[in-house]
Amino acid sequence: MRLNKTFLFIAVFGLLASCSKSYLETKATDRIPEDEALTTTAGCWKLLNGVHRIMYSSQLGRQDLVGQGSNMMFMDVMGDDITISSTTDWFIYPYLWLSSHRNQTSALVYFNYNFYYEIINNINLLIDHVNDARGSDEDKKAILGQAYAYRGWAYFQMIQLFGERYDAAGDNDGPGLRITLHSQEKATPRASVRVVYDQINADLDKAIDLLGGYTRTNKSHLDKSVAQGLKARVALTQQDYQVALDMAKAARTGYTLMDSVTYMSGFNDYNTPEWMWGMHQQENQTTYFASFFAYMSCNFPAQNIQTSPRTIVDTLYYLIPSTDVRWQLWDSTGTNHSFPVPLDADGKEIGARVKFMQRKFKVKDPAMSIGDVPVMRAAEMYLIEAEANFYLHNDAAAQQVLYELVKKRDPAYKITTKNRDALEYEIFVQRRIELWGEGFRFYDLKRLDIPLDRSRHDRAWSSYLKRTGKPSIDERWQFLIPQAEIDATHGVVKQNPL
Amino acid sequence: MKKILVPLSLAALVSGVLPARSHGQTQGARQTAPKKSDTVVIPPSQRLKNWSDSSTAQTLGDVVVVAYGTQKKASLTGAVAQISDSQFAKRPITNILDGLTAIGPGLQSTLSSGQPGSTSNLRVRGFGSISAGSSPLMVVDGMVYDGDPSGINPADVATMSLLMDAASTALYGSRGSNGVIVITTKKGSRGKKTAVQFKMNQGVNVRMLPEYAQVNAYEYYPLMWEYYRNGLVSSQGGYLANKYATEGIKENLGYNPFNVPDDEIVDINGKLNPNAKLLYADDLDWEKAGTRKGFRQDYTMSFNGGNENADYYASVGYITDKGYTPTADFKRWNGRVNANARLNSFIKAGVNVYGSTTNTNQTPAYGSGYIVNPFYFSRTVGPIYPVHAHDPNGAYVLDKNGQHIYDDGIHTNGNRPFSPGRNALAEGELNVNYLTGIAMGARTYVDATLAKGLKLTTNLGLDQETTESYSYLNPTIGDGSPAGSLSRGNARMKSYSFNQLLNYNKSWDGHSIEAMIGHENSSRETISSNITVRNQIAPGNKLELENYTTVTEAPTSSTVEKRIEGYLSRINYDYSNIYYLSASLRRDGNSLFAASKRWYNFGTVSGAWRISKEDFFHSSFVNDLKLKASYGSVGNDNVGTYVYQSGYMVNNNAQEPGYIYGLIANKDLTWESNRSMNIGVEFSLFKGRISGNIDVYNRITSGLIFNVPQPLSGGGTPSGAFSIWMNVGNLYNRGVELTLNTEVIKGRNFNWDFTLNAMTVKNKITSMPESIKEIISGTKKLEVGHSIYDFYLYSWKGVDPANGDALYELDDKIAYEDNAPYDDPDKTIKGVRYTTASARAKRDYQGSAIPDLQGSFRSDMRYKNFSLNLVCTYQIGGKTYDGVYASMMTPSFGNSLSKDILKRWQATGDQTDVPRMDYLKGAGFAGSSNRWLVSATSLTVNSINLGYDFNRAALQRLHLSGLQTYLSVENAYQFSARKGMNVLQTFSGTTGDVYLPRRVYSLGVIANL
Repeated sequence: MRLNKTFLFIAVFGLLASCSKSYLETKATDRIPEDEALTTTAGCWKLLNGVHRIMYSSQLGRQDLVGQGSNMMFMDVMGDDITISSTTDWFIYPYLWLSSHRNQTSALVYFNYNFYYEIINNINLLIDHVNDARGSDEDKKAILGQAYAYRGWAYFQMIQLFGERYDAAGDNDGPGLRITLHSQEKATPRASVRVVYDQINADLDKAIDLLGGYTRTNKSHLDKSVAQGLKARVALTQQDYQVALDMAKAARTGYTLMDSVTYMSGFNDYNTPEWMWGMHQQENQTTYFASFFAYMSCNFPAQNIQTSPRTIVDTLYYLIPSTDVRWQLWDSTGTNHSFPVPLDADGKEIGARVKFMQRKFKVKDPAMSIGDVPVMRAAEMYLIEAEANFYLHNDAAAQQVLYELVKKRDPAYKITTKNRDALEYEIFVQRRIELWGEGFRFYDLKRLDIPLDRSRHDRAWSSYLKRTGKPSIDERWQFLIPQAEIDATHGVVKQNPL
Repeated sequence: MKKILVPLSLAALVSGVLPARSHGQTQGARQTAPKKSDTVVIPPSQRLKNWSDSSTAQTLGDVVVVAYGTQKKASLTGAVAQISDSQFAKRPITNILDGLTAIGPGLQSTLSSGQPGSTSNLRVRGFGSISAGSSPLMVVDGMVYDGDPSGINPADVATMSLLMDAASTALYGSRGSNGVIVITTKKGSRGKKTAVQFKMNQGVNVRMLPEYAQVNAYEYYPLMWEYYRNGLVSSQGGYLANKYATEGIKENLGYNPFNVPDDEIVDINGKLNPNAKLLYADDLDWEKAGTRKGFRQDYTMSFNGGNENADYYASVGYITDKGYTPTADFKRWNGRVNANARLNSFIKAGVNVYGSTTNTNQTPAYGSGYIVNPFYFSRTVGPIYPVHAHDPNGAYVLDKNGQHIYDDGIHTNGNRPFSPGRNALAEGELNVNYLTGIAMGARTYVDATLAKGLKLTTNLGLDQETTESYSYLNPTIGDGSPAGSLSRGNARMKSYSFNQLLNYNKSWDGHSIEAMIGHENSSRETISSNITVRNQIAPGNKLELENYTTVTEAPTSSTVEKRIEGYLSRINYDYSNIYYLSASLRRDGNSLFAASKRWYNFGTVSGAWRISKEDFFHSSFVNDLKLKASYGSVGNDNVGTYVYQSGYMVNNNAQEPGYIYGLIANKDLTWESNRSMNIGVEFSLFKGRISGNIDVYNRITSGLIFNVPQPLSGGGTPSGAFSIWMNVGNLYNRGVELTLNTEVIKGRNFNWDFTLNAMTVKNKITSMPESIKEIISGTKKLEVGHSIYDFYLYSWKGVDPANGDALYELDDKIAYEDNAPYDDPDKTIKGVRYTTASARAKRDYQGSAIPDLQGSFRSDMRYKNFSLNLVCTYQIGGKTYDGVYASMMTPSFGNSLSKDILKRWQATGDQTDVPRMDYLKGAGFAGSSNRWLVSATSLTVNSINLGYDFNRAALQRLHLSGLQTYLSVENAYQFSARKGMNVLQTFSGTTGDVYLPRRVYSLGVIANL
C-alpha cells in the first residue's frame, strides 16, 4: 500500500493547508473609504460638490421629492398664488393642506426635515475635517465658507417650517430644531427658535467672512454674495430690517437684472447674469420625473404637466400691466397657442390648456426633464431692499429700489407718489409676481403673519381650504416633526402640538 | 448488523447506497429487497409504482441526504425531512422549490407568484431573524448553490432534504441557522443497460384567485356622488351640496359612461338616472382584458445506465411557460450529465455538469402604486373607465388598421382621474422587460480510499450565471414618453466551493464510529453593470444601445465578493443500532465581517435512543420507537456585503467630481447566533400502518441583526436617513411539529395513504437594546414580549351612528380637542372619548400574522391502475392585514370600490362599521387600523393529480417498459376569509398588488423505453 501512503500524506497536507491570511480580506469597490476621503482639500472639495448634487437629487425614491426644487414647489402650492387645475395633480394634497405637512408620517414632512439634515451632516463632516486636510489655506477658507453658508441656509429653511413664526417683539422660545454641529452626535432636544436663529446668523457671519476672497467656478457654488443674500433673507424674516437692507444691497452688487428677452427664455439657465445661486443639472445625471421641470415647466411631457399645468391666481395676474414682460408669462385665455405645451412623438399637442397657465419655466429640450433651478436671484435682493426700506420708513428709498427693478420688467413703470399702505401693497405685489413659482409664498405668508386666503381660487376642490388663521395663531402653519425622528431619538426630539 | 457508511453525498452516490433512480427501473421489475438489513433502500419512485409495498412503514430505514453526506434515517439524531421525485414528478412545476410542498412540518412557504419561473419564499421553523435574510441555505449536490433555482430542471432532481435543527445544519456554520435545503440530482444506475425516459407535460396557466368583489358602473356613480356631496356639505350646506354634486360629479370623475347628459347622471337625491345605460358595457373588464390562457409545455428526455465500474445520467429538457398575463413568459433549455467511475480499487471520481439558458419576459408587477403594474391598475381603476378608447357615442375608436386602441385616459371632455395619460395594458404591450440568462456549473470529486476505513475526498463545485437584462419604455405612452428609453444591465455571478474531507470509519463488537475532518473555502462574486439611454432613433429597434441618442444615466458597475473559509469535523458513534451519539464542529471565517469578528466556532451534540431495539422492549403494536435530542449553535450571515466598511459614495455635481457620506459602518457587526434545541420521537406502529414523528424545537437567536434607523437629524443619503446594522436583541421560535403517515386502506386493488404535517410557531422577541426599545415599521412594532409579526395598528372603534364619522380610540398621550379652532377631531359619545382622525388614534397590538397551527397534508390513493394524489396546505388562526382591500374601501375619485362600501353609513342612525364616504376624510377615516385585519385561516389545494399507469403487458408491443399519463391541477383553490385575497402572499401577513399565483391545468405523459 505504498501509493496509499502517498495519498495519506497528501491528505494530511491538504487538510492542514488553510487559505492565505488575506483570503477573507475583501474590499468594497463602491465607496471611498472614510479615512481617505477628507485627508486633502481636493477631497473636501469633492464632498462639497457632492452636497451641490444633493440639491437636485431625487429623494426617498419619490417622483415628487427632488431636492430643493421640491421644497420650492411645496412652498408655492401651499400658498395662494398658484392654483391647481386638476385633482390628479401630484401636489393636490399639499395644496389642500390635507394629509401632508400636518401628517407626521407623510413623505412630505420626512423629506422637508431629512433633506436639510442630509446636507448638514455632510457639511459637518467638512467642518470637522477641513482644517486638518492637506492643502492651501485659500482652499480651506473657500470650503469652510461655503460649508457655513450651507449650514446656515439649511437650518433657516427648516426653522421656517417646523418652528413657530419668528416675532422680533417676542421671546421666540418655542421649540425650534435639534442643532447638530458635528457629524453623528448623540440626539439632543430641539433648541428654541431664538437659539436656532442665533446659530444661523453665526454660521452666515462666518461664511461672509471666510468667502471674502473666493471666486467660484460656477453658480452651483456659494460665494460671498450668496452668503450675504442668505443673511438678508434671515434678517428680513427676523424683522431686522437694517441688516436686511445692508446685506441685500451688498449681495446684489455686481449682478445685472435680466432683460425682457432673457426673462422669457424659460428660467432654466444658471448662467443668466441675474442668477446668484442655482442648481445645474446635466443630461446624464437626469432624475426623470423627479424634477422641478417635470411639474413647473409648461412643455415637458410629464403626466402632471399634460393634465395639470401650473396656473397663476387670476387676481394677481390682473395686477400686471400688459406693458410688463411678466404679463406674457401667463395665458389668461387658455387658448393662446404661442404658449408651448407637451407634444407627443408625432408633434401633436397632448397637454391640456387651461386659463392662466404659465410659461415662466420651460425645458430647453422637451425630451429631457432637466433644467437649472434658481435658488437665489438678484431681483429678490431688490425686493428685500424695498421691503426693508419701507419698514425702516425710508419710503422714498423703497420706491426707488423698486423702480430700479420693475423698470427692467416694465419700461412704462413709473414712480408714483403713494401713501404707505399703497406702497406696502405695491412692494408685495411686485414680490409675488417676480418670485412666482420660485418657492417663496408660504415662507412670506408666515413671516408676514398673513392668513392664507384662497377666496379667489375657484376650482371645486379649492373649497376644502379657503382660508386659515394667522400664522402666529393657527398651529397648522407649523409642519409636524416626522414620526421617524421622534422614534429614532426615543422622544428626545419632541413633536409640535398636533 | 453492518452499516454502510456514507460520509459524503457524492461519495455516497457513487457507492450506490442511494437507490438508483432509473426511470426504466421504476417501471420494471420490483426493486430487489435491500441486502443490508438496516439500510432499507426505497427507490423514490417506488411508492408511486408499488402500492402494495408499505413503503411508509420503511421510513425509519430510508437514507437521507444530510450535510456533507448521507445518513440512514434510523441513525438520525437531528430533524431532517426528505421528499423524493415521485412526490413532485407529476406536478407541473417550473421552479424546483415549488416541489417542496408538504415535505414536512418545518417548512413554511408563500404561494409562488404567477410569473413563470418565480421562486416562493421559504422559512424553516419560524422566523429566526428580523432584518437579516431568513431564507434557508440552498445546497445542490453537496455544495452550496448560489444560482437561481429556476435554472434547475425539476425532472433532474432525485431528492430534496430539509435540514431543520442545529444538529443537521451545524456543518454549514455561519450560514446554517435558517435551515438548509439540500437538492440532489439523479444519477445513473450501475450495471443496467441504458434506459431512456421521455417526459412531457402540456398545460395551461390561468389566474388562481378571482378579483375582489367590486361595485359596478351603475353602483359607482351614485356612490361617488355621495362621496363628493358629503365633502361639500361642510362648506356649502345640504341643499347646495346636493346640487353641486349633481352638477359637478362628472367633472370629478372625468368620464360619463352613460347615454345621459353629464349633469343628469345622478339626480339631486343621489339616485342614478333610471334611463342611464352604459355606452360600452363590454369594455369595462380590465382584468379580463389583461389576462389570457398561457400555454405551458415541458419536455425532458433522459438517459441513464452504467456498467460494473461506471454509471451515467444525462438529460436534456425544454420548457416554455407562458403566464396568464400577456407580458409574462419563461423559456428554459437544460442539459445535465452526471457520470461516475471507479478507476481502480481505491479511487473513484465523478463529475456532474449542468447548463441552462433561460429567457424571461416579466410582467412589471412591482407592487402598489406602480402604474405599469397591470394587477394594481386593473383592480384600482374605477368601473366606469373603458380599456379602449371610445367616441362620445360609445363606439370604439379605431386605428388606421381598424383595430381598437387603448384608452389613455385623457380627453378634451374629461380625464380619467386614476392615472390619466396612462394605461398599464397598453404599456405592457409596448414596453419590454426581458432577461436572458445562461447558467452553468459542475460538481466534481475524487474519492481515494487510503486504508481500510480511511478515505480522502476532494470536492469542487462551481456555479456561474450570466444575466443580461433589458428594460425598454416605449415613446408613445407612459414613463418612456416622448422619446423612448432603454436600460440594459449585465450581471455575472460566479461562485465556487472547494473542500478536502478525510473520513474514517470503524466498527467492532457492535460499536461503530465514523469521523470526518475537513477544510473548505468558498467564494461568491457578483459583477454587474448598467446603463440607461434615451431618445430612440428607429422605432423597430428597441433593445440596442446605439439606437438611442443620449445617455441619461452615467453607466454604473459593481463588484461584490463574499468569501468563507471553514474547518469541519464530525463524529458519529452508535452502539448496536440502539444508542447513537453525534457531534460536529465547524470553525468558520467569513469575509462579511471585520477581522476581529470574523472567526467563530459552531458546533452541535446530539443523540438518539432506539428503545424498540432494547431487549426489555416488548410491544405488540409498536414496531419502532426512537427518542432523539440535539443541541447546537449555528449562524446567520445574511447581511449586505461590506457593511463593516464605511465610506463615501460618488455624487458628482455635473462635471465636478463629488461624493457624499454614504454609509455608517459597524465594525463590531457579526452574524446572528442561533442556538437550537430539538427533542423528538419517531415511531412506527401496527406494522407500519401508522408512523411518524413528533419534534419539539426551541431556536434562540441572539445578536439579532437590526438595521437600526438613526435620527433623521443625523443625516442620510438621498434614499433616506441613515440606519446602522447592529447585533441587538434576542428572539426565540418555539414549537411542536408532527408528521403522521397512515396507510388508511391497504388492499389488493385499493390503497390510500395519508400524510399529515402540522406545526406550531411561537415567535417572541426577548430582548431589545436599551437604546431602541421599540421599532415601529409598517403595520408592526418590534418590542420585547411580542412576535416580529404582531400587528401594531390604530384602534378602530366603529362608526358614529349620528353622522358616520370613523371612530378610533384617542391616543392617551394626545390632548382631547373637540373645540379646536379649525378642526374638531375628537368627540364624546355616551361618555366615551373617541377621535375621528387616525393620526390622533391610539396604536396598539392587534394580533399576529403567525397562525396558531399550520401545515400540510398529502393524500395518495390508488385503485388498480388509477392514482389520485392531493397536496394541500392549511393554516388555522392568525390574521392578515388586507391593504388591498383597505384601498378599495378608501374612496378616491376614479378608483375602484369594494362591494362592502355598499354597507357605508348613509343617514343618521345607521348602524354599520363602514364610515361615511367623504372627500375630506380620506386618510383620517382609513388609517392603518385593525379594521383591515381579517382571519388568515385558510386551506390551499396545491396540487390534484389523477394518473393512469398502463399495464406492462400492454406496453411490450410498443417496446415500452412503462407508460403513465396524468391530469393535474396545480394551485387548484384557496379557501380564505375573503374572495380575492391571497393569504399566503407574505409571512408578515400583508397583501399587495403583486403577480397573483397561477393555476395550471396540465396533461402529462411519462414513457420509459
